[in-house]
This record gives sequence, structure tokens and C-alpha cells, in this order.
Amino acid sequence: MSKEGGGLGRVFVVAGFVFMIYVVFTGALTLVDLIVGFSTAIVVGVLSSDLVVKNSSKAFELRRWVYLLFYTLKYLTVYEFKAHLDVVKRILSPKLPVNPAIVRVPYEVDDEYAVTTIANSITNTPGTVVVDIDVVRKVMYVHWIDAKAVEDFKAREYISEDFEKYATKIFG
Amino acid sequence: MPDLRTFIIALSLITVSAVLGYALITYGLAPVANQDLVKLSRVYLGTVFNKSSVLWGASPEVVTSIIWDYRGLDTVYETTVFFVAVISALTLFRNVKITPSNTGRGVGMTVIVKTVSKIVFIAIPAVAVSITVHGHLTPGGGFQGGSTFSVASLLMISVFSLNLVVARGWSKEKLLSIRTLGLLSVGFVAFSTPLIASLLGLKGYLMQNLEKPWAPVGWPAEVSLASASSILVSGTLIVLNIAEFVAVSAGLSLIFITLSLPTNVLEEGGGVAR
Repeated sequence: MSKEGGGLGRVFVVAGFVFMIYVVFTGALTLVDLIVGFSTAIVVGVLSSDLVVKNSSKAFELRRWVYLLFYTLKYLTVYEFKAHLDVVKRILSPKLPVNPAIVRVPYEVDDEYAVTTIANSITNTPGTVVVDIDVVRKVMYVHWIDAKAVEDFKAREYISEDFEKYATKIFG
Repeated sequence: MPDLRTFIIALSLITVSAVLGYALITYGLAPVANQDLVKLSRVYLGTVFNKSSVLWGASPEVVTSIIWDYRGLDTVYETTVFFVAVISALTLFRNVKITPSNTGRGVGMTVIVKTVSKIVFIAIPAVAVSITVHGHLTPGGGFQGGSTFSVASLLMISVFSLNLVVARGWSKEKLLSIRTLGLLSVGFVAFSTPLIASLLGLKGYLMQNLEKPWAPVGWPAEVSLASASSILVSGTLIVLNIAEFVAVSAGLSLIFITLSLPTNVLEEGGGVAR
């Protein structure tokens, strides 16, 4: 338990999250809720922190949180808008201009939260869906409504380069 | 090219839904219930919901205040039924050994599902405990909270594999002990009032909740902690809810674990003829 970012730090990170969920779900901050929420958070933290968090020291770096906030806003506005606009155009066009294909998209991050961020960012934008992932070869298989490129790294440029850049800064 | 018939069908469907929607919004939401109270509701509102009455149920919620004293009975019966159900299920698989070596390979789903489920997994207990502890103020309670919690076990089993759950130490014996602890607490609360009352030479009822003028032993409705204003704990209810939560969480989780065992393990251990 004495690895870097392990032990008590992990418990603290998990407990903090659980306590936040408790307070938000309960919608009250009475003394009882503080006591019960705190004890629940500690118990869950002790029992599950080794499974949930690998390196807790990352959670205490402000730079990562700033990037997370920035990426969240940029993703929900810019990337989502672009992707929606593109798919709306395809749907409304009478010619139905689709060129679907499943392409292989490599990734380079190691942290599982970073991998999940990239994969969910790809899936959540219309037009691209991650259908499978190979963690040994470090590639995702992405279904793409308009395959502009089928070569691995060319496809990554179109699909996930920006997502990976931010995921590395937040979780990597 | 849609013909005239399709067009007319579509148009009439739109018209019907528009008319129905308009009617529902305009007339459907108007009050239809009789605003006068019937005699029975007058009686209840004047006694169990009325703080100045000796029969006050100590609940800010009308339904709970009416069924307050029955809730203990409800919990004990519900726990009994659940106890019998779990025991019956475990009897069928009584010789099944649940060990890390016979619970499959433990591969689980992809890293994406696992990571997302981890976040959900630690959020579920917070919600479950909140439902349990506010059981006397809301429609929640121990059974609801325990069922919510067991979803976390189910999530663990389906996403991370049964093998991981067992390997992390959630053995049959451990879960059975936790469940028994919850059941014993329910029993203790049910017998506590008449026991103490009989020791003091007073009248007391089985599963009695709050004190009554003719039976003055009961669990406190409110508790004061330090300088803070008194906290409504509602007599036995909060204790019963927590005990029930513990029993149901452990019992349901054990059932989920047992039912997720590979078929050959169930057949070997269940004494089923092959």
C-alpha cells in the first residue's frame, strides 16, 4: 500500500467522491447527513479504493482539473456541435451521402480513465462509435459514418487526435 | 412517393393527438378530488399527525405518521419473508463451494465498461445509504436501500466477473454473517421495548415504537446531539431501517453470487442427479 499515490490518498479521493454523491442525492446538509455521509464515504473508500483509483496524486494537481473543465466545455459545445451539424446534413440530404466503414484507431495513453475518456468522446459524438477495443495492441475499432481515411494513423487524425491530446493532459 | 391515403392517415393521427393533448392540458389537470375531508382523515390528522396529541407519530410526512407504529411490524414480517426466501435458495445449493478457483476465469468486460462502472459502483452505496437513513422521512427504507445496494454487487459480477468479487474476499460465510447481524438487530429492536418495560414493571408491547401514555417505554422520537437542534430519528424506525439495509444487502448479494456460479459448480454442489 506504499506505492506512489496509493494508500490513504486513494481512500481520500474515493471517499470525497462518495461523500459528494451522498450530499447531492440527499439534498440536505444536516448534522446527521454529514455524519452518515462521512462514515459511508470512509467505508466505501477503504473497501474499494484499490480497485477504483490507481494513482491518487493526479487528483491533487490543479492543472488537470482546469484542463478537465476546459475540455468538458469545449467538448459539449464545439466538438458536439460540429459532429451534429455534419450528421444532420447527411440525414437531410436526399442523396444520403454516407460512406460507412469500421476503421482501426490507435491510441497511446496508458491510464484507463484516459482510454475511457477517448472512447466515450468518440462514441458520444454522432457519426462515430467505438465498437471494440484491444488493450494489448492499443487500438480501438471505430464505426465511422463517413470514412475519410482507412489507414490507422490517418483515421486517428480525423477522429480522436484532439480527444487524446486532452485526455493525456487530464488523466495521462 | 406517399399516396393520398397515407397522407390522410398521417393528418388524422396528428389531429387526434393534438386534440387529446389540448384536452388533457386544459381539462385533465384540473382538480377532480373532493376538497372536503372525510371523517377518517380528520381522525388521523387530529391524532397521529398532530404534535399536541398524545398519539403523535412524530413524522413530518402524513403517510408515515399514520403507518408509523405499523412500520415495525411491516419490517419484521418483510425480513422474515426475505429470510425464508434466502434460506430456501441457499438450501438448494447448500453444498456449493464458492472459491476463487471455481468461479470462472475472471475476464470481465472491456476497459471502457469497467472504468465507467467503477464510478457508478462507488456512487451506488452513497445513494443506498441515503435512501435507508431517510426511510422515516421519505418513501424509502431499509429494504429499498438494501435492494439498491445489491445492484452494486450485480454490477460488479457482470462487469468485473464473479471471480474478482470472490477473490476480493466476499465469501459465502462473510455475507451470511453480515446478514445474520442485520437480522439479530431487527430481533433485538422488536423485543427491546417489552423487555425493558417488564424489567421496570411497566406495560410494553412487542415492536413498540414511541412511548404511549399507558405504555411509557419507547424509543426516542428525537435525539439531541451536542448543541445542535434536536434531530428527528423516529423511534425504532431508523434502527430497523439500518438493520434491514444490512440484512437485505448481504442476503441479495449472496443470492446474486450464488446464481452467477458456473452451471457445473451448481450441479456438483447442489446434489442434483446427473
